[in-house]
Amino acid sequence: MPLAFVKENSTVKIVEVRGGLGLTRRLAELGLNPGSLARIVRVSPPGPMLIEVEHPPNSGNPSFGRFPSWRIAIGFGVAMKIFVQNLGVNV
Amino acid sequence: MSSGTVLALRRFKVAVAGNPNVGKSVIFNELTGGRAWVGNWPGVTVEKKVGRLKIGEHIFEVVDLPGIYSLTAYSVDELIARNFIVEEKPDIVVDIVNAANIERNLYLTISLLEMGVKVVVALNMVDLAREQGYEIDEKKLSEMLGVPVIPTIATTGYGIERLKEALVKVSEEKEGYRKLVNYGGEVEKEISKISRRIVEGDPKLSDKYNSRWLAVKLLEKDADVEGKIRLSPIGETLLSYVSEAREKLEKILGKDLEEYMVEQRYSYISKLIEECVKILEVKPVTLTDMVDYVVTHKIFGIPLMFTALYLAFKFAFDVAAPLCDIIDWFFGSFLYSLVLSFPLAGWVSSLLADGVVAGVGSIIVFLPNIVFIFIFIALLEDIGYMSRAAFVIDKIMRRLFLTGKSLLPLILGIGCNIPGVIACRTIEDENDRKVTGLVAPLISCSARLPVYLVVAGALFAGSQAGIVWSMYIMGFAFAFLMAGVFRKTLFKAPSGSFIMELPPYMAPLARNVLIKTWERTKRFLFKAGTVIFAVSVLVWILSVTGPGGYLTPATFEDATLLEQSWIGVLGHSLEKLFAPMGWDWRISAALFFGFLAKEVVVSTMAILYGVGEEALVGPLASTFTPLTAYAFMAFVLLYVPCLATLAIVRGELGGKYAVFTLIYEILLAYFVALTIIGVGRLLGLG
Repeated sequence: MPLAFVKENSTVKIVEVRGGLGLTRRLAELGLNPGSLARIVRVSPPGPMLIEVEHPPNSGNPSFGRFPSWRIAIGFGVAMKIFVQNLGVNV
Repeated sequence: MSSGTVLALRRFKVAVAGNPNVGKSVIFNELTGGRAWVGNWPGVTVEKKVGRLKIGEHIFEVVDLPGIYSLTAYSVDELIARNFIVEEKPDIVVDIVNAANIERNLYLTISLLEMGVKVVVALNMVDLAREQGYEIDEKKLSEMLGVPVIPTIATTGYGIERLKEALVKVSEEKEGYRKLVNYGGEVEKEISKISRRIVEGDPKLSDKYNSRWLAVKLLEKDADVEGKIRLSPIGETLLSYVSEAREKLEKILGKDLEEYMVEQRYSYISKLIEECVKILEVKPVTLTDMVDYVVTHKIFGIPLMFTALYLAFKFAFDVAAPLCDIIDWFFGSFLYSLVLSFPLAGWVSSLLADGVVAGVGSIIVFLPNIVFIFIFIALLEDIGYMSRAAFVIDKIMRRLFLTGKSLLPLILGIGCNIPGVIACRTIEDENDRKVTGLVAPLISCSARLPVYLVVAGALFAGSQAGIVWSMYIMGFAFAFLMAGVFRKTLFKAPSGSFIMELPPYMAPLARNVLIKTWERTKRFLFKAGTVIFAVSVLVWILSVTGPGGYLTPATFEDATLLEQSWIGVLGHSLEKLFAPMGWDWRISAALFFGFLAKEVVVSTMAILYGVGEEALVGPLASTFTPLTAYAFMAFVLLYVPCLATLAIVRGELGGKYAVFTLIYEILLAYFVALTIIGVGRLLGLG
């Protein structure tokens, strides 16, 4: 499903970015690649969403979730182009 | 070399690079002792910050680059940074890595190393990393990357000396390309093939750029590198070879080649992390969480933003008020009488007292207000609030086909429109950048403030703060409105993408805030000393002379005599234009000179009414009604950007846009002032 439809506090896994080369690159630089995990901190449709990227992609790092994460604001339009797998709400 | 010198001085070009919000400017200030000068970026008529560091016989010319995430450029800002590193070839790049966010920051480090540039890594905010529960083995990291890694805490100056030593050491080393990321058998084979073709086919090119880097970038479809290759004699053949190779590799890998290469870099970074980072304990970060919960709230976010700005301004004015009074007394009474007491020829003492002291003094009076506004803007920037403001406003901006990113240049414009227009470079989308640049001069800057304060002080005693605040709101409202109009007409295109990092909240650093404030205040003082000084003298000359010849300084005492001066003639001819608004010839003349710098509106009025800033209250109260005064303030807010801002618009967007800005703003201001008068009269006001 598109990231734009995910609820607050859910954790998602990025599956695919359906955007141009530029968008894909920029997201990759901010650590959002297919495979990376993110927690949705704040949504305000049709406004932007605030997400927390949780660990470097493809690392298979067992310490997932332990490293400090970073926060990114993503516009609604961009969030519609990022397809994710919803891993459910963290408690 | 010259034989006379004992020490052979050796010069090196050093660039300070890093992601946004890693403490880059603090380290730059530490390295250069906070003394920077402003130069021009090659090829662009805009400013760069350069400082100097001297260690023994080594002289490092240090350049502060805009924040970048990688060497791929999206915005003008990033293009400047990239071009500097790629084309200007600094001898050393100091790469500031945020230790508290090391995985992502290392991406730029890897990109720099792949380019073959000499790098010194400053591992900044190591204290914060430890606070968050982990430790970085910098020796191991240095070993693996093959470059010095110096832990630093920019805010305390920790590690800066070691960083300087590392610069000296690295400046002595030969450059060496280090192959860090292995892209795997098939890809590596193609990289070597392409690289060999470049070396053999165009040695000039491979002398200038690292050939492996060129090959990697070609496979990644880097538009800029493709452009360079196209100019080479081997260009077309090589490019078609590369695209065939790419196709072949994508078939083998079963995925997009560029995506694959980015992944390989990240998995190399993961390896670095695994080897070099030790987790001590897990500590959740809570402060940023809590604050973000409040400031990005769906309903309260936007009101909170305006309340915060309002309180900041209110505080700035309240604190500044007594200081302004002291300066006003100094210029208006002390200096004015002092100048008149000197035994000088009548016209000289009039020029000094009625021209220079009254004119320049009426502006300097507002220095405390302006300084406090600059301090607050710097504080908001350093705390990390600005990007949150962009986040909450994005929802509104979206309706105007803009993104939250356009807010930052507008907020900076409150201090001065010039940095506001320049900050538009951080906007990636070309249409968004241009539209924001066009409307940024509508934001109420500190130069308009003296006009509001004087006029509101004369006509709205008791409610000045609210009236002045409404001007700021009006500035933003028209900036948004015009942006929406331009975006839907002249710059019709789908809206750009909004992606922005929100840095963790940080305690502001006094030194950093003060340096920023000083740099911006300096510009204001410079303007007071040059433009405003010159215009004050000009207005004085045009006041004491007229079509009939020299009128003597008695004009300042005698209103009918003053009307016969050049300025009287000019004012009277413009008066007709402003007749519907009910503004007299003095005000018309003041508006004319206000084009040079908006503060000049006040200084010109002060000269024409033959009084200091404080004494303007009387004459203005009888000239204006509250309604015409309010329309006047709105007109001053909107009518033309000052000359300096117009020059910057020309530099950033082009001459065509500067002319357009000039024309649309005059029309807009006239229309708005007329509307205010019309609506006001309908409502029975004034």
